[in-house]
Amino acid sequence: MSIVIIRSIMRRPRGLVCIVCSLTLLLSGGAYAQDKTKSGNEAITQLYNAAKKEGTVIIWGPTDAIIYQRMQAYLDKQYPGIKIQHFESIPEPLVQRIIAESQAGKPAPVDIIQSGSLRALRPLIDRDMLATFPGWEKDFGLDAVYANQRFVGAYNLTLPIAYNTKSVTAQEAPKNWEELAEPKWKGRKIIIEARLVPFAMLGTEWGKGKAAELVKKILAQQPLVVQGGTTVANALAGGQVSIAVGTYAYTIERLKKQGAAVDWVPVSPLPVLTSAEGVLKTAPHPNAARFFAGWMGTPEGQNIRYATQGQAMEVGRNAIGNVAERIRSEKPSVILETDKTFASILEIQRELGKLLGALR
Amino acid sequence: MLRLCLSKTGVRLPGGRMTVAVDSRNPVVRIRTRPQFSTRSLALILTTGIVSYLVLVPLVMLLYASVKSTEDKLPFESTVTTLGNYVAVFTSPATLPIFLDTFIFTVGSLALGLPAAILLAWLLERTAIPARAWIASLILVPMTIPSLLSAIAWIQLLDPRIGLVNVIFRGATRSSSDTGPFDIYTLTGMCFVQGLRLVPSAYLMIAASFRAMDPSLEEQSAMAGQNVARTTLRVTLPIMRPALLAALIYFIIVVIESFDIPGLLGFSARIRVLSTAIYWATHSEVGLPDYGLASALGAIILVVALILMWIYRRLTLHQERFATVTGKGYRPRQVNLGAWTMPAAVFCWVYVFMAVLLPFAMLVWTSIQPFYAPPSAESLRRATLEGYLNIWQDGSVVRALSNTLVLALVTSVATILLALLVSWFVVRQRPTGASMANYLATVSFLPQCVPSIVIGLALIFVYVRFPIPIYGTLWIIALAMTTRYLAFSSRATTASLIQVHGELEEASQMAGAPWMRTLRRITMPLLAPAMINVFLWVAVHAMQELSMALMLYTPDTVVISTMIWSMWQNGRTADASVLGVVLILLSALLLLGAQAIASRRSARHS
Repeated sequence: MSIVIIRSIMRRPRGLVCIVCSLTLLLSGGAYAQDKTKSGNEAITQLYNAAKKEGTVIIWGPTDAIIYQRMQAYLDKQYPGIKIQHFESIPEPLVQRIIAESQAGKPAPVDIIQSGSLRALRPLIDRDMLATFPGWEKDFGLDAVYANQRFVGAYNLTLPIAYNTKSVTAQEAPKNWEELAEPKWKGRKIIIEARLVPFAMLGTEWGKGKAAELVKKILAQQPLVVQGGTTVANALAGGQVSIAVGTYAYTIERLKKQGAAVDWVPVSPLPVLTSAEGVLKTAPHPNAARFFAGWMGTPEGQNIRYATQGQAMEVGRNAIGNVAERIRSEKPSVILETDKTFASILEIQRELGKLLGALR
Repeated sequence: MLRLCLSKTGVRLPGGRMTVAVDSRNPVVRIRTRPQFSTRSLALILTTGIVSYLVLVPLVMLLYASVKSTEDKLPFESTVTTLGNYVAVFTSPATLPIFLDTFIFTVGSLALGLPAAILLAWLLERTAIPARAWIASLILVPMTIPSLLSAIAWIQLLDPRIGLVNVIFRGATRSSSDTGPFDIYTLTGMCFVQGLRLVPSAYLMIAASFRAMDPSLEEQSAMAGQNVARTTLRVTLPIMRPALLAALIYFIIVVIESFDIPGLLGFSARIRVLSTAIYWATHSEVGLPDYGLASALGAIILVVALILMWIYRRLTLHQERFATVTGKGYRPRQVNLGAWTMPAAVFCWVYVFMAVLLPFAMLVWTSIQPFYAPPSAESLRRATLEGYLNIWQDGSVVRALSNTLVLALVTSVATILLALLVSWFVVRQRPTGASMANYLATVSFLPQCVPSIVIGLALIFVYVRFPIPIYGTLWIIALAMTTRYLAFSSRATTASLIQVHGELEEASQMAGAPWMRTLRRITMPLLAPAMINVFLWVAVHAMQELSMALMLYTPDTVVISTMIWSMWQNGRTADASVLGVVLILLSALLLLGAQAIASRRSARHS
């Protein structure tokens, strides 16, 4: 079982300075790729020219459609001539549709498939339906490139322990995963997301047995078990529970901004999912797709994503935003979902699912 | 036997040439009609063909997938045929609790929902309680609240910690506890909410039969000295047997198959039922959906449905006994409840308050909150109407609204026409063609047993290869919904048609009217109450349907239900609730409009 753990060798916290720098970079118009072109990176310029000729990039994925409308404005300013067409849906039915249409000899009219986690795109890798593109690493200089250059990371989803600040103080909040099994959390004080992803990811580091033991102990606490990270966050913000596992750090940050009494603990080890984008082999606009996915992975693209979506890479070289800053400052060890780990995560997830009554 | 063929004389009867046969040993003249190719035959062939096609495509997919190894594969990709899915279902230690909880959930929900619906239908159709028209319209509104939002509203009301009802109750009783006394995350809580949600659909299925019932038998009972209660128990309800049985059987399957309430309330407390097991097999996020396991579970529901259908047929074998609408004129008698009028009215308004006003108020509350929060003085300060203004900035909302309305209209018209034809052949064909009638009755019921996601996948699989370009259009979603809603529609229209005696149609045909005109001028007007109800039911459900729409929609065919779902998933709870409120208001307008038409029509006929 291959496990990739990125130990916290992050840079020192820079707080607001970093955000100000990022915004300055964004607003200056001194686009990252333009700098690259100036320094002689002809490959990106050529790719952009080819993308402009294609004129359109079609993206299918879970990101809110309104966010792509905002991104379009930035794209038009920096790289005019490429129109984003977006179809918002969860990845699972999209992946099934792409497979079914491809097998019927009618490839789906899509360039980029995006998912909230690498695992959701696994069926497309298994069927060799995604194109490789070395340029993401070589030309764009991205580090979050996976599965032999078939995926590029779009943003991360950090899965911390979250708590309601009205019912739990920062001192009382669990500082590690094992504390969730303490008697003080008994009786529907905890809510967990039913797919048990954080625990499956912990299992890749701890071993399946230890993760299963922890889940059993938590289930004995009579937690609420719901589907969906947003439902978990809503229950926490609404005061239904004191502690939440299975929602995302960026969701908690967003709720905090809106005035909700919630916060999160960057416990160690900290599971981090990777939202990925892949370009289909049958993409009608392959250059526009490669260019857009690559550009969005650069510091400039990440700033735009963070400004429009509130999400970005939270670990790694191009990480930005509140969550990334907090991870940098508190230095938890991170369990990152990559193409090397998602098979183990799936396997452990299946096993843990049986504890919740899954038939298989 | 002497046989006289009169065909040479050109004597014709509707439906074919006539043969008169006289048996010399038994001098009774028998008249046989030899069917010939007519509009009716064509309609029968078309109806059978369309229904078979609509139903068998997903059904074959269900059975096929149930014997395929589909872990990490789609059913049509799998090359391994296996009984492993059934083995997994029947050997898992989780199965017995699932079956047991499903049984309790079904019985509990029906025990609450059906009697309430029957009582409401009787009160609103056969008694003279005040404000009947208002109540009759309002009790249908819960149908318009999407299940997801309805379950969330009930969590806000009955969550043991923050539920408004619990908070008020604890305050009123000065309780020192910070939880309870009511708990929505229990089997009782699930049965309560599911039962309340069943009432409008069951009411629609039953009310039309009450409305169309000739009261002469009840009057005879009253004249014989029986009181209202005894007359209802011994006369009214037995006459209503087909409608009640149809409702019971249909709703048994509906409860077994329904996901939202068990998914949101039951799953939270780890109460698993068959529908949640199917849902988790297809939405577990561990690779591709496990269609094999989901289909094996679906096949079990199919077997239950077939058994129920067989029981239904046995119990309504002599359907002519239940016909109360005959050639004789009648006017349904209004029962005077006397001292019970006010309690009856209170019962109706309590239902309206609990099932309509409370959840709707909670939804409106969520729509004015920047994030999900229970009612409190603090959250009241955060209230904003921004969502109602901002939502229209999203260009796709208007497109989604117009798509949703088109879909609701097309689906309801297609479903009602198909259901009418199915019912006619099931009821009128049974004496001469029992096997065909039974086939249609059974097949039209089966889509209710096929999980929506399997219907969606089957349609993708078939229509992506289909020469007619409906894939990726609204029509494919309409087709999926028509398939899905055929079960309810045909149950409702069949139950009402059984009550209409065939003599009215026979009289029309003897007077020379062709079959189609008889259907249009005699049958359809007599079935109008049921047809209006079915139209409403289908339209409202088509507006909310999510599972199939999620599988089949495209950027051009986005509908409101998928938008609400996406917004909720993306944390835009206020926006999702705003759209929910808009959807409910639209549906309510539709309901009130149709009810007004029905009332005017009823008044004109009276």
